Amino acid sequence: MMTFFKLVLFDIYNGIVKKWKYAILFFLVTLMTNVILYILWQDLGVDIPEVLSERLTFGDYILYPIAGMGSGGAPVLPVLWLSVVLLTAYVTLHYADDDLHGFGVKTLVLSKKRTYWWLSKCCWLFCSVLVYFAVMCVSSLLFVWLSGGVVSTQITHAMPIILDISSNELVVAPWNITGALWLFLLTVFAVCLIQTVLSLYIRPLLSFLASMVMLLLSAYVQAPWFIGNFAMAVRTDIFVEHTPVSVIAGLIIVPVICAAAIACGVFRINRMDIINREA
Amino acid sequence: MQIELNRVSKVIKRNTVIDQISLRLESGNVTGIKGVNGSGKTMLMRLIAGLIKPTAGEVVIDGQQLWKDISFPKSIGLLIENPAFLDSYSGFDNLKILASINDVIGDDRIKEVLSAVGLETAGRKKYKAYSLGMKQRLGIAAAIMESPDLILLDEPTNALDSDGVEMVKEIVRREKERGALVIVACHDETVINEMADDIIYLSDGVVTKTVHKRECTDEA
Repeated sequence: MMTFFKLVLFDIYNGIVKKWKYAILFFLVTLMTNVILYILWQDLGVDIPEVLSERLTFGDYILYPIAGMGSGGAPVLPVLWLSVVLLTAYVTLHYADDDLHGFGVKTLVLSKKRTYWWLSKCCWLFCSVLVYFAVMCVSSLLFVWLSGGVVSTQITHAMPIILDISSNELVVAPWNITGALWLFLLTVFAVCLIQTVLSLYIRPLLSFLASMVMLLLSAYVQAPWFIGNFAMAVRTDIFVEHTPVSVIAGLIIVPVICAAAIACGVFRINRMDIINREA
Repeated sequence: MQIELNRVSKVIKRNTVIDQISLRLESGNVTGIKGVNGSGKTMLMRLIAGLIKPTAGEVVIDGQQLWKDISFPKSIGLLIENPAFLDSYSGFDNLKILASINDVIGDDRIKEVLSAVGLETAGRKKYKAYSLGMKQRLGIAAAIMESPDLILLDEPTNALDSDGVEMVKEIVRREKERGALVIVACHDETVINEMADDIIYLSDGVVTKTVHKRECTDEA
């Protein structure tokens, strides 16, 4: 068991700490979305008293890049949401595969257990997603502090207007997105995990393309079996009524999907040949 | 340590890369594998290391079958194809990371093996600054540092100068004296003749000839 923890620590150090530049990237991307949201809010130009009396919150700033596409309005590609999820998928794409075809062969053989190697990669992946999301939160908190916003996970009345959510679909305020944030985190982990499992079967780039297709389908098909729906906060029952995307259901379904993906990885790693990509 | 390969075959993408090989290898011996490129030397090494699964047959190490009873040989050091280390760490730190997994050796032993492969001063340099020969030396150091019972060296003299080749011969001789089972794949006939007690000739995944040099000497 000690060997397993050593592998996890090694992966966290080598795959997260040593790759600190990715964290900076997430910080900057979030800062950029914060600025965009602030400008949109300033230029909102509505006379709704509730909107005018509120200041943007931490919840608003963190929601904006991960909101996704609402069920109403025009079917516009959720570029920001797709960028954030795909960025996480991309920065976690090569680590496991590179390790398995390089230095990891030595750690794998020395640790004597293929399952340890895989479970260590799962832990690294979860920590990666958690760290990058935490960096996004820190970036938003910093912007809230700088812009005189409110530190709260409650969403203001300006957000449904900015995100173009039809008012007759909305549940009655207040909207607290804490549950949706956890669900986003878990769903992004699930997407990256499925991608990593796929990369044990096919080339990493193809598994990334598969993730992209899965997310695009999720954007246009509002159904819980397209897992990306759970990562779109504005489709959850926190915001809209009569939605198939329930936060509670998601918090049960997504961990089950993660467990299934981890099991698939255990099955695969214990049967796969470790050879050069050219072979 | 005793390794038995019983009618082992490996098929990759419909190509038979290892075809019904049966071998018996024992500790205190150096077994050389000789063959041209693509003859199956590296695949045979990978089969013994537990990195690839036989399509047919079995690899038994000290009575335990690979892929059934154990995932990898219990005590193994290996250099297969190009040595792969972490670029941003020094040679010493790379070995230290590997050593930390089993925690059976300390810094002194790491310094000792670095010195044995001629990297006593370069051990502190970052791996990305290493020449090909230095990378190869570090790969050999990693393979022998925990004094494993089984050592697999695939083309250990690649990228080495004549001093380096002598160093490999010396290391192999010492590991043999220690009682390790050393398997060396090499395309250089002279080098392999000097190092190995037994030589297995491979061609298209088939053992075409086995030469037991000790028996030859006894007969003479």
